Amino acid sequence: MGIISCIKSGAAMRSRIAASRERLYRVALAWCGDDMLADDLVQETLSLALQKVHQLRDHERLNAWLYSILNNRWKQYLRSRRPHEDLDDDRVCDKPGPDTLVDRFEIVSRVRMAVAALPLEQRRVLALVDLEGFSYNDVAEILEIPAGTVMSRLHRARKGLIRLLEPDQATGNGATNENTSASLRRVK
Amino acid sequence: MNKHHWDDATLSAYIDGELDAGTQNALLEAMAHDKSLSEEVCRLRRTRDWMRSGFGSAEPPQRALPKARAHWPRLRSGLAASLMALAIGVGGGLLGYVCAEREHPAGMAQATDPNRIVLHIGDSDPKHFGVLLDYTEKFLNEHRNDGVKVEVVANAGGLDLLRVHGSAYEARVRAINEKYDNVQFIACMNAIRNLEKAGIDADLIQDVHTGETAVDHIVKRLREGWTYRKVDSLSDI
Repeated sequence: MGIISCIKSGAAMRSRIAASRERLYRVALAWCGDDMLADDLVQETLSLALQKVHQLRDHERLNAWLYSILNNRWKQYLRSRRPHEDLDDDRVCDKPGPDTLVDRFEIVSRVRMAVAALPLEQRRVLALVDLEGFSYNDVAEILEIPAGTVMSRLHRARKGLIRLLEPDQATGNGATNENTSASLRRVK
Repeated sequence: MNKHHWDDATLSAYIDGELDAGTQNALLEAMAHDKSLSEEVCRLRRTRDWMRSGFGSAEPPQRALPKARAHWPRLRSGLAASLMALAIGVGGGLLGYVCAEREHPAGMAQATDPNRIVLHIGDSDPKHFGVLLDYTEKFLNEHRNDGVKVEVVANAGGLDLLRVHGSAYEARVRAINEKYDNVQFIACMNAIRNLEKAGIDADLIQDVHTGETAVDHIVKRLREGWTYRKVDSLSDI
């Protein structure tokens, strides 16, 4: 690749990285629930991405790569804040349901509250799938977890949200662990 | 196929287009004959709409693209002053932060008590200061015999309301504090720390309380049944 091509390619990548700010921010906000922290996380992510973009061999993977960086920044932040937090604590299931949410809040607020009440690892998966539309395999790669774990965390997150936001609807359909295992094998 | 053969994880995978063709066809066939199964899929699919409603409109503050990687302490310290103007969150954003931060999430109050109100301000708009203090005084006056309690919680830019050198409403805050023993002004610990990081002394008005973050305090009050009102919602007074 010639020098001109390199420069053009670099500028294009920089532009794509810059254009990712809003989408990264929304996911970061869903993860951490704090707009100031989300902004910092995204700024850190963009900074690191710009610094390391030359290491990205497959430019088509830019999107997933950016979220990997965001995830690492988030984990690093959590480690610095709460080294002993159980990130996968399924705490929402033990808490009162959505009837405890404050009625006056608008849907945005209620959703954010409910999402924030989900276990951290469930939030992480839910945001990537439902906000960004990543495939399970992409999420598995970004978060460095097995695809089956993505799947189980995702459906627990969804059930948790329903339980919080629509308590009357959260009846479940009789799923069992055995059934879940079976479904994992049916995934592409 | 009976719906009991379909578990949540598989239904979720169907929503996300993650099932293989054979399984997907079988599920479609099952849904055609089982209304409750279709409804369950719709319920699960709704989470995507919720997520987009809850976060789809969130926009980051305008910032220049960074030129180089910054370390956390430097980044946060350098931004502290400007970020002070940003509210930690509106409504649920604030509460979301709380839920993410605290060890015991989610448990909100069963019912709100109209006589115990926590008022929240997270911006430095003087107009909001005025609205907030007007509301506080009016509420305290109108309900003086009802055993009411009011707490005014300030964070981010709202902290200026409670600072000696930052608030044009300092005299009013002092006066309200002196006149009523059922009102408390509370400054967010995080906001104070952020000011200090930026090299600014918070210098709070006398008798202003602090010690915990705004979000921690508000959620604690919500759990106790207090009514929460953000300054934005007070324009109807």
